[in-house]
Amino acid sequence: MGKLGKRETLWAWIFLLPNLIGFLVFVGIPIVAALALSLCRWDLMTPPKFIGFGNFLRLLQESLFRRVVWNTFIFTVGTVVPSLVAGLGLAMLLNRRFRGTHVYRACFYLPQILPMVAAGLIFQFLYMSDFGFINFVLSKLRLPQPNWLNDVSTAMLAIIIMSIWKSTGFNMVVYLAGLNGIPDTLYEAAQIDGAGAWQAFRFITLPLLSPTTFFALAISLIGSFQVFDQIYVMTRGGPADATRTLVYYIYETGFQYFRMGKAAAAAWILFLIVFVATILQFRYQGAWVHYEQV
Amino acid sequence: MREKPSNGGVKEMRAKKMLVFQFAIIFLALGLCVVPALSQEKVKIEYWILGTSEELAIEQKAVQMFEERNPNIDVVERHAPGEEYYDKLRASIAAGSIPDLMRIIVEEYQSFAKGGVLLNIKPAIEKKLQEDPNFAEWWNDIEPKLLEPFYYQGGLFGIPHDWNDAIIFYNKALFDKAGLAYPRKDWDVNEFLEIAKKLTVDENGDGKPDQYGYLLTGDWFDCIAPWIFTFGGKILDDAWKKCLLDTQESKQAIQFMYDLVNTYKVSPPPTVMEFTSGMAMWMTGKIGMAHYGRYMVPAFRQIKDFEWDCQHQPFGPNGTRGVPYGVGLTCIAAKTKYPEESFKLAVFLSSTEVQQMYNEYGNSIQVLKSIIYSDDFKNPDKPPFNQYAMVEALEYAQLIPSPPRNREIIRVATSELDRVLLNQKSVEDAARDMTVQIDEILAEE
Repeated sequence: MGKLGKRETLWAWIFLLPNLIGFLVFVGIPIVAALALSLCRWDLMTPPKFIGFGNFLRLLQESLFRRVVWNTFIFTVGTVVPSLVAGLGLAMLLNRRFRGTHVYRACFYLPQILPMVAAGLIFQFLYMSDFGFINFVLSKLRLPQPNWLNDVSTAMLAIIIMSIWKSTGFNMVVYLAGLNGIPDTLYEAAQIDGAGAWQAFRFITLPLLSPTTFFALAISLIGSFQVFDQIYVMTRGGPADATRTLVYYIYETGFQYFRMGKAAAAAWILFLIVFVATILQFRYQGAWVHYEQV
Repeated sequence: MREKPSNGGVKEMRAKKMLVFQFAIIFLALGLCVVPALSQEKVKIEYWILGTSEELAIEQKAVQMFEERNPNIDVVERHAPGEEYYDKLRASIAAGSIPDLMRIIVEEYQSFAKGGVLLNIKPAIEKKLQEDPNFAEWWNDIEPKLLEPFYYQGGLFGIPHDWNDAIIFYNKALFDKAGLAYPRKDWDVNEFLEIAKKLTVDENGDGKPDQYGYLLTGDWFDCIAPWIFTFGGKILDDAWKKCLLDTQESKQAIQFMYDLVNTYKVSPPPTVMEFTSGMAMWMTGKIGMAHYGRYMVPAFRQIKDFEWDCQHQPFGPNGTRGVPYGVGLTCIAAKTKYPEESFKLAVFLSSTEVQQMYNEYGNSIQVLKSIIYSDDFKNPDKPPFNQYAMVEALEYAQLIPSPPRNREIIRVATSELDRVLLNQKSVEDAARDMTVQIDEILAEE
């Protein structure tokens, strides 16, 4: 490396330093500390005591933890797929030019910018069994009125519906950006070849949107595994553990029961789950993600 | 004729003047440093409290009074609302920044005492009792039932500050409307059930009650414990080492709670979140009876639409009754630099003067016999007019079991109870499962 190259490298490091320090202090060191902590028993009051893999073994044996992982999986599948489909559907609808397009786009995006706590509180009222608006509408339609948040069989569904409503706007915007990147010439060529709307969607839009779908899927999946706010606000993991998810479990174990080691171990298991899910996505993206060749 | 000083003499004089001037400056500077240093010899105590803004206002007033009487002590208050309080306190302890003084409820007492965070004040109390007759008089004024449970592992780690229990609060307007007499002091669960049935009303005929006779909150303190105790059951054994929720009596109590919701339908179904909407239902006059404590009284005094009062817990089928009670304590950190000053403040916060201020506000019951057994307490000028029932209930009240890991025990029990009330599990299975899980938690300690 020449003198100039070394100088540039040095400057690069100097400019990167503030970010690196921030990363180390707020992310890097806590990650390592959490790993060390996961091998200890610590209640915040007495010094940590090394117990090896005791926390991990305990978690794997605990029926509640298995339930929590299952709940998180159900939430993730229940939220990610519908919100991607709904986001794509809205993007397709609003990608056309008609009067008020921007207003509609803003309206559908609005839930995304609403704080989750506020949204959770609103939905908590909407879901109330006796006085809630949703059951009021269902009663007018003479449909069954579930005890949304208080019934084991509907509580997770209620959280999922609310989360889909909240995240669809984001996926819509991502898909709109993706749709704008598809050249009109492809559709014109398809039209000349006699392709219909469905065929154009199936063979042009979907394949060319696959990188967008891949991005939205990865982001949504990671976000869903980390679901916390709506659970905290709406159900606190109840009724009967029906909505207790991994991050809520970590919070409860760490900051309610002050089992910091066990909470750190659960956090590492969450990290591994997200890591494996992301690796699998990257590994198998070749099978369905098509990048446009320039 | 005076001799004109030589050039060297003038210089010498100037030098002397400069020296004097320099000394003056140094003394002045030292003086300026020393005066504030002397005034800074004030002892600074950090005091952590939890509670509402109204409670904080009383606490601030009490601290101000203390500071006026003890000009050498400066009290720095830190406040956090209920839920965050213990998170912050533990995080602070982990960071090595332990407050000198802290308010702790009984549910957390053993965890903190066991963790070595709290100072054993038993020796200081014993010394004071011998030296100071006024102190002895005040100390003997503390209701023994609120003090004795806190002698733990041979020590005492806090001074009782206030307490609460949970008895029946009832909506007088709904009783009047239904033509029912208000509950009697010696009523039983059968009468309770009959009243609850009569107060459950479906006004619009849609098959769903618009008004419930009772509110089963599903809460540990306000709901589960009173019924378990009233049916002769126990949550844990006396040593808090073994769960007793699978005894016949405890199962009978769980069955009764199930029946209130599912068989007689006199209560809305509870879950953890129902507490909020349940409270709203009570405040809007949709609930005939509910278990609450004096901690809700300031909020209930804001109710304009109906009158309300409280009554003893009804007797159970075995002719016994029980309610839980919990105590708040002021505790001193084991590592405080100022144990004497902290002790002085802790004692002051439970003094008759400060206790009276809290009594006025009415969000908890005081620990001094001279206040709670007084005629003023028995005949209040504000609701609840039968507030003395809360004090009388101390006769049959049991301290809410509070071993270390108490919060996990509550989670297990409330989750299993949810399953019973939601028809997911039988009483028998739930009682067995919660007992196994709670015993596992207790065995860890």
